[in-house]
Amino acid sequence: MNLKNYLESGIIENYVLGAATPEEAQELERLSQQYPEIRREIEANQFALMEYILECRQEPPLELRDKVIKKLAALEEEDLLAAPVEAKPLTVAYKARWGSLKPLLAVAASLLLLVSMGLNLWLYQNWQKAESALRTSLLGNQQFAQQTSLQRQQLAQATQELSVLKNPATRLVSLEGVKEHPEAQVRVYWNPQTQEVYLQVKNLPEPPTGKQYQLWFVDGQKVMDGGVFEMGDFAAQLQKMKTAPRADAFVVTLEKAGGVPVSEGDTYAVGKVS
Amino acid sequence: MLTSSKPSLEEIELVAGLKQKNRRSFESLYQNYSPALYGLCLKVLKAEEWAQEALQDSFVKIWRKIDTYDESKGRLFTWILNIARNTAIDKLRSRAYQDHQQGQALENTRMAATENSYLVVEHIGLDSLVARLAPEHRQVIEAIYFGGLSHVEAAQKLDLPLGTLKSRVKIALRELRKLT
Repeated sequence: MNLKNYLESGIIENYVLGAATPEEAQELERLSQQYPEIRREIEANQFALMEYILECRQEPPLELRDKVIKKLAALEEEDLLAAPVEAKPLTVAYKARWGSLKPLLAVAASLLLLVSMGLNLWLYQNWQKAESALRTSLLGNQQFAQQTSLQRQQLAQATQELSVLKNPATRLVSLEGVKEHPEAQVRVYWNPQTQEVYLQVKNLPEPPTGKQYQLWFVDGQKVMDGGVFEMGDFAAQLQKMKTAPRADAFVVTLEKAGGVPVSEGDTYAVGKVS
Repeated sequence: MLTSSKPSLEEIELVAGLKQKNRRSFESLYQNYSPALYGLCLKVLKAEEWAQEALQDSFVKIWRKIDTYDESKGRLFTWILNIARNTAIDKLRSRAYQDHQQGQALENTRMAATENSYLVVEHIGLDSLVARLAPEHRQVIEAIYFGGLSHVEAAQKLDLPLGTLKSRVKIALRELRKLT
């Protein structure tokens, strides 16, 4: 694994802000045990966030303290009641006046005790089984809900993309690679009425660590920042960029990650609005 | 006290007490941490009665889950903050809360002419961390950490390209670290 790439990938920040997926979080927790650098990075971010949270602290109303403490005391009682009760059957029935029956009763009592213990064990196992089945099905539900919500998001995105493409006012601008990067190819969809700009990568090399591609709008002599865009899995999707009120050309350059106010990197692709 | 990477002796003792479900340890936990947790719940839910419920539920969860807390994986404070945030965000997403918010929104529009509709007044000075952080960085932390939004949702809400949002999240935390 490339540690530096991982540290800069943004996964740690997401995890600290609680936005990582369960899989990402699990992996990160495992890696943090393995790599002290990752662990230090997580902690440094967590502590910064804690300071932020601490600034928002506020005393809860006084009566809430009693409510909470009472609630916990009730839970404690519940726990005690739920603790397994030892089986003590039949000892009450045992009396000296049963004299001659004593050995027989003792045997019977032992037998009953055994039966009762066996029954307890059986019930306990059943209960455990039922509980684990319940847990599995709850987990299944949760995964299903997550999947549905993901699909809903994807559908919403696809619908939006379609509406952009179908809009007759939307103009397609093909950005072709410059001499140094002839393979570069990017499409820009621009709607001059709504000023919305969407970008789709057709072909661009993956940028090196710490770099990101950035879009620019050219309007006469003015060059305006169109925002940075993602590569990797996002490259094929339509990515929403900043809005462009006017433009006669679009340019893609490679800049410092996060983008720069004035371009300082290499130009990759250029396309004129026809 | 809270923000060093090694737990103090007090914390080690506290954790041991909590794991034994010692009532006094829980009282001390409440004493020391409830303002931070309550502030967090308030920021998420923006309504006192909801934040109070979330705080109480958080303590119930801490009680129930303290056995699963693993000191080797992180500090106690981080762990309980996580519990409180998750509890508050579950409430935020609940049907009941959404309904409540709609009712509240109606109420607010009715009163909007006279006053600011913020339900919670935040007493934060100008020199505070929060105030010194650039608004665009504060925004992304608020949306994701306190609002529980995913990147895609946050990008939509803030009307930013996803790529910009993602790099902003990274920068926001870096800036925050510089300020602390």
